[in-house]
Amino acid sequence: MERQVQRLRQAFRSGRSRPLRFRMQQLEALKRMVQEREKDILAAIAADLSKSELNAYSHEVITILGEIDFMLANLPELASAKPAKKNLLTMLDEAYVQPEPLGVVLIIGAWNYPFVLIMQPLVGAIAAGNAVIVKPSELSENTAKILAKLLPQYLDQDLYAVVNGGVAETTELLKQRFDHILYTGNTAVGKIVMEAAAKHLTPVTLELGGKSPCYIDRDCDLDIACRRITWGKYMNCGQTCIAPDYVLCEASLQDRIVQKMKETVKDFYGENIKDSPDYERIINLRHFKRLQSLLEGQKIAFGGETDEVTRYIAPTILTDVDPNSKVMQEEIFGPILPIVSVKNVDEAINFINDREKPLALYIFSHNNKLIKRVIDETSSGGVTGNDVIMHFTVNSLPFGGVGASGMGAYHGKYSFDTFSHQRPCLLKGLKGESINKLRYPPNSQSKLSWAKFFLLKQFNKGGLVMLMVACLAVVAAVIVKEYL
Amino acid sequence: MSKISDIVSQAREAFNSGKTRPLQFRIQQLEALRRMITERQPDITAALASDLHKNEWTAYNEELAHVLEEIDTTIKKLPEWAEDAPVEKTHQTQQDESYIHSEPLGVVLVIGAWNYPFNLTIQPMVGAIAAGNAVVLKPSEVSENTANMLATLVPQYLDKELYPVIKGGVSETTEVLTQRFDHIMYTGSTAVGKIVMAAAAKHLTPVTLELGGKSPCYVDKDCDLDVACRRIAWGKFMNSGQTCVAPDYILCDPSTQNQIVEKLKKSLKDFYGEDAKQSRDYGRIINDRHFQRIIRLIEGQKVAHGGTWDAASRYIAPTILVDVDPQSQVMQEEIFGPVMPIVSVQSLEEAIKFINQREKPLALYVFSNNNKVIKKMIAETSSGGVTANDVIVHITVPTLPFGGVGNSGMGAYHGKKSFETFSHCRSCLIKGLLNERTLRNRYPPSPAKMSQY
Repeated sequence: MERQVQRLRQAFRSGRSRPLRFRMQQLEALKRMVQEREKDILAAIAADLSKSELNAYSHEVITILGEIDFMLANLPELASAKPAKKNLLTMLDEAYVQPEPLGVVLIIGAWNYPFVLIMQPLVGAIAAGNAVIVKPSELSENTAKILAKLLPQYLDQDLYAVVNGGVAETTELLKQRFDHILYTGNTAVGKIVMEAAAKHLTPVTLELGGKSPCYIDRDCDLDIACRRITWGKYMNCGQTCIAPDYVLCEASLQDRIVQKMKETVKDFYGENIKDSPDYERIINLRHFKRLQSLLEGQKIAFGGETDEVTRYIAPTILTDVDPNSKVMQEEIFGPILPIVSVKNVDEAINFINDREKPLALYIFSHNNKLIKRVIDETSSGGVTGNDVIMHFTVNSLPFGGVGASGMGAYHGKYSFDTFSHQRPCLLKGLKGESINKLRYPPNSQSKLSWAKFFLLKQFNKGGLVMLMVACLAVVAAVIVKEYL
Repeated sequence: MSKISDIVSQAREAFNSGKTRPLQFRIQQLEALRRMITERQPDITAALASDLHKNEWTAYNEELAHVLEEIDTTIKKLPEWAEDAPVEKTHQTQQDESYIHSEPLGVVLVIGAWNYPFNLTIQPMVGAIAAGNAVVLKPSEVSENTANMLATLVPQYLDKELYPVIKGGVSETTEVLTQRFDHIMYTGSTAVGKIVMAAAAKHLTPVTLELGGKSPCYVDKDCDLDVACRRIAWGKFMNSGQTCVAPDYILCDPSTQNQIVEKLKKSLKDFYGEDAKQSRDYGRIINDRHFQRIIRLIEGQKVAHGGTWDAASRYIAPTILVDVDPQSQVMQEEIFGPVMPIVSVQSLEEAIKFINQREKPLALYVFSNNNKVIKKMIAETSSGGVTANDVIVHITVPTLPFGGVGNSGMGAYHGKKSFETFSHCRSCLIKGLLNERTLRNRYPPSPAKMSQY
């Protein structure tokens, strides 16, 4: 593995990935891969998550095509030097921030959206000019295999590699030195990744999880709210890092919410949910059993059916949930929606703030002021008001967590920035030395006064005179620079 | 004396009370900080004089001026920075509000360094306060007098619970690092940087690490050597070389080596007189350990200038080494002292290769009349930041972020970048509960979508 990383580092050092032309060619190749091999990719995702190919397309593939198109259209602008506003002392100089590649980037994917969670960061890392190793999750085996097969067929094999394997291989990989690591997964492993990164002083982006709360205000259109929540919760069988984890609402709304969600589930998946091609399955037996145990002792308002053979768990709602019960202690990551009663929005805010900062927060209300208040008085990675999930899809919004839900962010321009070093550059001329004289020893009181003026631009009583003198000084400097 | 965990808990409680949320409060605290600096300048200068032999002028120019500028800029811009920032809409979100909401992280730990002990503790604090956080300060114990001064003065001007100062050495710092923070800002060495990040990992605390390295200074044949050498001499020997962005070593063509030595010597004489030991403006080495370390770097080297010292006052004369072997000790570690090695290279390409064989430095300097040379050097290397045709000053431009890359650090601050570093940028998408029809495409059952394909 060390040799592989070395190979990528050599390839990076060759400078091949610096020209934008090269990076765009690689991105175009990636686009071709997604379009030409769509069938194989969809089949792999479908196999891993018991997902219909149609849904695999709309959940994952379409996002990648959008991201690639964004990078192709915006790369020249993203990669360009950004001029910085100058102060009095640097007025005649060039000051700018130049984005540059970091070097060799490691992307560790997750199993729940196994294609997009590798590909979307990959697009950003390539665009920023890095060499990249991707390590797909071994739990989504088919996608891991198809990525290992396809990526080398389309991308430069010395700059971009796929490493597959389990815990042992990942641990070995994490011993190597990278210039950035992006990890998507759980909090516990996030700590392990950051600890490993610390040994090499490698910066990290950690996309973790948590319990994303969903507050439903009494002043809202319950039909619409429940439909949107049902969609976001049970998509991918609840295995979405920004799924609404649990609902907070006044006790009086509970029954209506249950009823409306039940109806929506029927609209979405039909009478016999098991037969619906749109309803997925739990990724493996371990998670299946974990979710089963969360149901124990709970009041099941509807759903609750499970089938170990197919790892099927019905869309389930729990009511009158005790905040201390197991289902409220860990991120559910499954098709179980607890409803916890709160007296009012104040209690909801306190409830949320008593817990770790979640990856997403949802509020449903007609009252925009209330939505803003909840945002102001809580914290989370991101927020969608009056819907769920959707802030993820807005390319101009950075996607990331805070606190236990993660650090750093990506998507669109934020991907490019995450995988770049923003290098400040100040280019002076070798003239204009007279202004510099203020800073050279030996000191003197007058030098100190002038320094205070130039550095602080303090215009008070003698201000106008000082201003004129300053202008003269600048004119003098320009003359010196241009003509001497 | 409260236990460290109590102090941090108190800061968290004070933060949770919501006191720091109104901009008015934060601005008041910043104004108080400003008053602290202007009213107590003599006390601050005295502490810096005891620690590092600074005087009123060097203390002001090197430390206080920049903090004052940061405070002024921050107070003026805070309302703008703290505003919700709308973002570009997609065609799906045309009817929606989409923006980035900046919010405080919570409790921030700022660990200062000893070389600019006032600036490197207080300047980060300015951004952390502005972003609405509680801030725990841990000044470096190595610059003892400044640490004591800060522990005395800061509580006299700022909210005591929100902005406590913790003193102490390695064991206190280790204990502080076991506490949970929402961001840790550390300025210091690479070795300790790793320790800080490992400790932060246990709580998933994001970090900003301002570390160091060997900042190369390439002097092209085609340049005004008088001006170049004067600027280099200024930046190198300021604070007796104890500056994280000091030009660590010079790379130049062998034919210019002697001229460079002569011109550096001339500037040194202009700055510090014949005997730098007599100059009020020449600093001293912070402690015996570093003093001994730097002396050892001179051993076995060809000394073109200086090379004398006085252990009692921890004075080391401005020293220039020539024909330096890249394998020697002085070229293996960050010098952080008034010793300037000159290493010969045959060409710009060789200089670039030399730099790229080593860890990415915090700063990179290139002197040339030829803009192409400068641009090539920048394009083919990496470093935290760059100044061309001068040294140090890129870090004094408030609109340029200051930070390292690779071994020289991660993250950045100064000006608006500080505000961003100490904030959480929270993505917000606010939709209406209408227009349900437009969303129909996303809902199962999917055969309804089939017809569109």
